[in-house]
Amino acid sequence: MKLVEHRGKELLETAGIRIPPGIVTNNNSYINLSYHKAKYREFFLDHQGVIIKAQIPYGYRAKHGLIKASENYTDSLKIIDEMYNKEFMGQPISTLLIEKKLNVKSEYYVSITYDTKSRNPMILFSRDGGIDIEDVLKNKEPVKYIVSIIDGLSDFETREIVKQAGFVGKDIFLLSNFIKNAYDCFIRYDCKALEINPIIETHSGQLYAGDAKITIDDNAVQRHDIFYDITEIEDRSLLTERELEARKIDLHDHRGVAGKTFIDMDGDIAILASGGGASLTCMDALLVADGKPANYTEYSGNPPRSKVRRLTEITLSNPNLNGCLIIGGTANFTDVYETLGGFVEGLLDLPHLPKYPIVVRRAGPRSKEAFEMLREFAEQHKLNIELYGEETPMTQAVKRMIEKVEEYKNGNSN
Amino acid sequence: MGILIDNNTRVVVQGATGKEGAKSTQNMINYQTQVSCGVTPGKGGTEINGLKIFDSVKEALEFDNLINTSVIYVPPLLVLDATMEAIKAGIKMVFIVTENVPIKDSAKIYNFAQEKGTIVIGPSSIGAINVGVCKIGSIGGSKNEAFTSGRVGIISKSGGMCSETALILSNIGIGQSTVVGIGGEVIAGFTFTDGLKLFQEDEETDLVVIFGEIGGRYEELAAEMIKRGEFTKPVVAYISGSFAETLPRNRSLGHVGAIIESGNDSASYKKDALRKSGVLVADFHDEIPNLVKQALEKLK
Repeated sequence: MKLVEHRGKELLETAGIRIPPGIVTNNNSYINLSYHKAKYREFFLDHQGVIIKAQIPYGYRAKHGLIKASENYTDSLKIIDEMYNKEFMGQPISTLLIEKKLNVKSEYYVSITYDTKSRNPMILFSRDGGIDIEDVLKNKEPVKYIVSIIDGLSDFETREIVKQAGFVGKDIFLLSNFIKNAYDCFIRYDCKALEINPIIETHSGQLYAGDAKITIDDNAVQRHDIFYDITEIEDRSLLTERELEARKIDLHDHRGVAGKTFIDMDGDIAILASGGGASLTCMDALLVADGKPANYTEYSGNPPRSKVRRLTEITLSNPNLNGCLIIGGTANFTDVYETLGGFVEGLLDLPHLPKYPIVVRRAGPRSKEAFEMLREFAEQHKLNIELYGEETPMTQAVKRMIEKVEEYKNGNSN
Repeated sequence: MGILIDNNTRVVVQGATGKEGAKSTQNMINYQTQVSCGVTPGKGGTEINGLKIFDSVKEALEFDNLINTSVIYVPPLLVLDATMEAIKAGIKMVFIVTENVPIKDSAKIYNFAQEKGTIVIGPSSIGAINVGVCKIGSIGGSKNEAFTSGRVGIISKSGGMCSETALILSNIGIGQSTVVGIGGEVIAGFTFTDGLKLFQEDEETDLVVIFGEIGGRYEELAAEMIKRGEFTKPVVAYISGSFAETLPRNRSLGHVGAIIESGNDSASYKKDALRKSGVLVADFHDEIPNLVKQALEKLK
């Protein structure tokens, strides 16, 4: 779960990091209402200059004209209006963060992620922060520091990081304290990645988080009450309606996984795959054989019937389908009868049953009963369905799906 | 022989009273695995499938001090605690079957296990099967026909594809020694290199099949290890997830927990690294049997 900037900054603030004074406006009319307009005017006059930032969880905002500064009140209103009229990746801009324009002396960079080799948190720190950080880091390696997750991060270690980046004297304490707080935030909220670029040092010698890019570990969201309604925080602007609905399936129900990774694609073959590895294998085979997936998704870990039912309904609500592929390897413990039962219930939830071909390739616990049930259901409702078990390699079932889709499309055009 | 588990393996199941735990316990027993007892805090003194349940791992060890392996089925947010309990009680091998474990917990588990010299496989490990001897975890489910006894080892990030990969080998008469699911997490307790180290020493394994996925660096580390000459048997590899390269970047895929970040964790990068180390790389999953067959014939 990626947090937009102002949400990320809220977390940083609770960990003791200073953030610039700011206001969040979450729709265009807000700023135009007389009460709020007065509030904003007051904010502007207090700070004598603002930075207006579109709240989308994506980098390079400045390069897309989604971050703009203004030192003139009337101009700033115009910028706010223009920003709301912009779109990003086909989605409207719905929220702005308007912050005090700080008196910048220097900009630094810090990020924290997990290093997969040492399997510990890793801090990257550089004294050259700012908008061109990627280019800067290419030429000049940041300080890399692996933190022992068991021992935690001590003050002498953060001082060492800061010294290695070239700081001397009193500056060492200022920055080492900042890094310590950032690490505390990273650990406390189960972040997968935390980046502050830039860290702003003002002329009065104070440090601020100029931006915040934070990704929270989806698996730890339940630990933190503040993330309870995940979809309020989730990067809505980058998700399609189906992607958003699919992500809700796993929320607050840890029995198996379904829909967490739903991705809409441009093709016409709906995919309901089972198992992470099998789903990837099947997508690879589909693309190589020139099939056009309408989506990627998988369910696994023996999800209850209700989850597969909902995932089926969401996946098949796509109006552009010419086929549906239900595919999985040889399941170890996912109950095939239950999950395919969920598929059938999902079909019945649709406004009408699909006429396009369905290919099923599935093996594992209770697959025999599942196939009998499907066969009966197909006969009763005249579904165009083919069933394959473990005797047919997954890759072949994929090829069969593509043939069936071609047949169906030719039949339709005749 | 084989790796990780054998007929001396004696198991406590943590979370044995849950739905998946109970089912898998029965399946392990049916495959002749020595399952000693189960642990579920609060349910001590009860029984399930004739198996005694204790409140703690410590009590389980007091009941049976020959227990040397734990398999964990508790819910995701309880995994850290259950694993620490097993490690602190002195158990030297822990399989974590539970998926969706927070990355912070996985990092703590791995580093703590390293300090104590405990092998932790998982999270999201489907378990392991020493074909014809015993199995641990959920691998194979209630049916084990996919696995036939032989001399090929399999290390797979994907649990579902453990059985599938064994099946397509068994179908052409190539059996397996040990098949282990290591999980597809970014922070894994046991990786390809750990598996290769053990298979190198295993006299009953002639060749190893690796099933990898996009994300993380463990395939790359395996390639480096092979290149350094630390694993000398033939390796056949398949890496899933090439299709992800056609998607916009930064989208998380599957419970593989993988995020394409820098490009050097993509499927094509990994395949390339493995090829350069002399590994036979299958572009399609169903090419694996042929490559294995060819490599085995060369050994003769």
